[in-house]
Amino acid sequence: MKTFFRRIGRAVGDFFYDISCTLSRLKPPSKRPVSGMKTKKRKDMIFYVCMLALPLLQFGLMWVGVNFNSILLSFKEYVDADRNFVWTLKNFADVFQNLFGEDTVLLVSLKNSVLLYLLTTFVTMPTSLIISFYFYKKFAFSRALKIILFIPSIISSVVTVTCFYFIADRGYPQIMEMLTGVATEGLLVNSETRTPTLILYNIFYSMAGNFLFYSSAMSGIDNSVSEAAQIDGANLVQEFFRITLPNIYPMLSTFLVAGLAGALIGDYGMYAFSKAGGSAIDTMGYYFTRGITLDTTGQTYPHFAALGLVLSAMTCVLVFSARAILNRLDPFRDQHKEVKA
Amino acid sequence: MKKLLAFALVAAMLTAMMLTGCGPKLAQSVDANKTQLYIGTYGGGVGTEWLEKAIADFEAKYADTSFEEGKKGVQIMIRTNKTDMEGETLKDVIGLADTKEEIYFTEGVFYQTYVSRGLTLDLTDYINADLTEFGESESIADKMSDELKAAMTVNGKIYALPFWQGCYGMVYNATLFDENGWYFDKNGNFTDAAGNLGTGPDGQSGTADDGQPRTYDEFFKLLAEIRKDGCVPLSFAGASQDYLTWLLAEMAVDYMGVDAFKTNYSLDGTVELIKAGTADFTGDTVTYQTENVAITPKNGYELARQPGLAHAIKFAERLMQNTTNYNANSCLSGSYKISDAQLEFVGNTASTKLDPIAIMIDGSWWENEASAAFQNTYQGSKYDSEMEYKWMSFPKATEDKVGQKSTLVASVLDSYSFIKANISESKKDLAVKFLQFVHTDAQMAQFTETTGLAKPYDYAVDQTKLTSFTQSMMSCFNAADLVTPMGNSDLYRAYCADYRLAYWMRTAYDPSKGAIDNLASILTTKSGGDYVFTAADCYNGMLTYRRDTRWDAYESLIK
Repeated sequence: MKTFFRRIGRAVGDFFYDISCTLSRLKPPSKRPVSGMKTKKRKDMIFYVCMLALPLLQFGLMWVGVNFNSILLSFKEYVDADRNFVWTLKNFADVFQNLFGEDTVLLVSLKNSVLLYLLTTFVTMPTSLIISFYFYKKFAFSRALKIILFIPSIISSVVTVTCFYFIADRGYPQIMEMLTGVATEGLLVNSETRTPTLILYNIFYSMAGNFLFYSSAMSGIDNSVSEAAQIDGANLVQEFFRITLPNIYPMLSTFLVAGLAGALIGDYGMYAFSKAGGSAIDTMGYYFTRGITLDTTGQTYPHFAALGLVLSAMTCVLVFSARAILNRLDPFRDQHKEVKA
Repeated sequence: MKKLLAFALVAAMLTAMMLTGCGPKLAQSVDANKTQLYIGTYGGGVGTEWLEKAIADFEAKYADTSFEEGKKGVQIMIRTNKTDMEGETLKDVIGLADTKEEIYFTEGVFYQTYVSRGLTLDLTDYINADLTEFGESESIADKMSDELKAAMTVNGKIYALPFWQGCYGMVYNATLFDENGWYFDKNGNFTDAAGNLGTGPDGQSGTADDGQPRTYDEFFKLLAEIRKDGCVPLSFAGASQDYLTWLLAEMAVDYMGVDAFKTNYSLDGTVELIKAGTADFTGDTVTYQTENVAITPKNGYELARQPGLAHAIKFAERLMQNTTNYNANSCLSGSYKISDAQLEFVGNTASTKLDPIAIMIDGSWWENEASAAFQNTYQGSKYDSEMEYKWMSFPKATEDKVGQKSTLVASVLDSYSFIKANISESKKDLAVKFLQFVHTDAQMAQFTETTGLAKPYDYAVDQTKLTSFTQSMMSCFNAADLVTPMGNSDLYRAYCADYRLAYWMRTAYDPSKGAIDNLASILTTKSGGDYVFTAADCYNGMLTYRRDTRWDAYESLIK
């Protein structure tokens, strides 16, 4: 895997180097002799420009371009069916009123999103880490288990949801009836078991795939470090907490920060489960999808645009705070600082 | 070698996936010697078999006619797609230059939106022209009812033709009913088909609905009797619980009658409403006091207090909060699709292990749509079924409504046929010819024989070529006042999607939940084993939703 990325990195580097070479060849020969240092600087500049152009172009197209209208929309209020509008801050006032009101759909959706993020993160992450450690140590059946556990992440969520529906609503009642002789409602059919079932599904589903990243990161740890720990008498638990976790900390913190960025707007599979009764868990992502699909006239889009902006601002605060805290907690903080210096 | 094998395997999988994505219908190749006409259709419950037959007839009729210089005959190409052809998606692409289709037979079209955006061709002259070219002396307009013509006319012109008639309702297995004697006699007791049958909801003896439950009370009595006899009383697809919602809306319309129904779209008229705070949902039937209220665009939300809606909601509560009426693991599960419901409705009777299902909530197009179920059960079509199915007339909410003529919204899916406005001049005549051709009596009869569906035009059909179900459905339609859910106001034009019949049932039943119309889900929400929401919550939430959400959004349009 490492070699693969290294090769890609080299190929990208070569590509831009070739471009800079071509550009310098196309340039008419200078009348004045230029010193070797200056030529190098110019070449470096061309290289940097080429390297920055692509991400900047992507940012311009994929963020500014896409969101520009959305940002404008959040300050509009349609006054008629032909979408004539007036500029207003009303949409933001409505969003804040709803977010800080009592038992509003928006507030409930936000609470549920946070709850699901916390559950999927703080239940899934430790479990995935333990599983990854198991794979990393190459214990029995680790390769087979790796494939089995990875499968849900490569299957379309619609397929997974359908399968889960059948297990929960068809399989479970039949099994329970066989075992107890009592007719039982399906887990998603019964409104009382629906929410915990959906949470369970999210935990299970979010687990798939994560362990591959973790075990890859673990395999990057120098063998001599864990061997030394073992020679010093460290058991598996000690190795896990004192050697493995600190060594993959940068990756864990990246995952936490990246996960937090999507926490508030995550759908958590609720749209795919929207057939599981209208009273399934409302999440922010589902609130958006449902609201926009129900509104065939587009009159409420400004509300959703304003909500999107408010959530982005809230996410920024959360992400940067989390990043600062996680950087402070980095066990190799000093070493990382030295490397940066 | 391993790598090569892996590569071959991945390549094979990708190819298979791509081919699967293409679907069974590959593009027809263009015959350069003929003039092409492109048709887009939704398919769905109505399918495409009728269209293929019509095309074959049309192509044969004009095989030797030239519509373009150097060409002879017509080649009609169909594209069927449920996503692209659905009215709301289609409206954004129909006007694009690279959209090939010229004629459409589709659903989910908000006619007024299409007209106001100038997306469809003005058909007025062609509709009023006699169909002499096809051997008929009358025009398409002559075959339309005045009510329909009025609904379709915008500024004196008609821009589309209604495609087919359909409504949501209940289908029953008449063979099971005959075998078990699930008919009511004149005293409200059960009897067999040969017994002294009750009048049914229409209050008249000797009509198609004789012996059927006359009121909601009798309907629930019937469900209990069916359960007692070891069958599943009622079924519907858990993945499409909106079918129940549509049914409830139809029942509400049936209660309110033609005039009140129209006021819901015109927002102009006096309607009998339930007096605020007087509705009592505690008994089997909702009780209330009424008042006459003049409805204007300003107070249109008050229509949420219509008695028909309250009765329909109570009906839903009685149905859903008694799980002996239906199989909860099917009707409340997203895994139970329409095709599953149809398969069990048809197939369970042929099994000794499964409980037969007596009644199914579905659309009037179900028999055509359930071809897979008939194939699976009888290795044949609906004509090979060993069971006889029939359409059930809506029972009336109360005894005093028995005998009142049914009011039916038979165009719930907003299905229309039309020609796109930007069709090239050279193709216009041909497209018009085809549209006129499919509205000849012979073609419309063939449509009904093929699909089991009626069109909202005056034409004769050979009843012997129809299944019992289609016959019963058509007689039900013929006995009812058919109404068209369409308005002409600015408000309607701007928000026609909000006027969709199922949305009538939308309710803000709980402030912490979004407003939804899925009454099955709301009414089966439990806490500690008890149902949380009642019919009263849903009824009150309807007014809240209309007043605080819909009318709040309409504010700028209400003068």
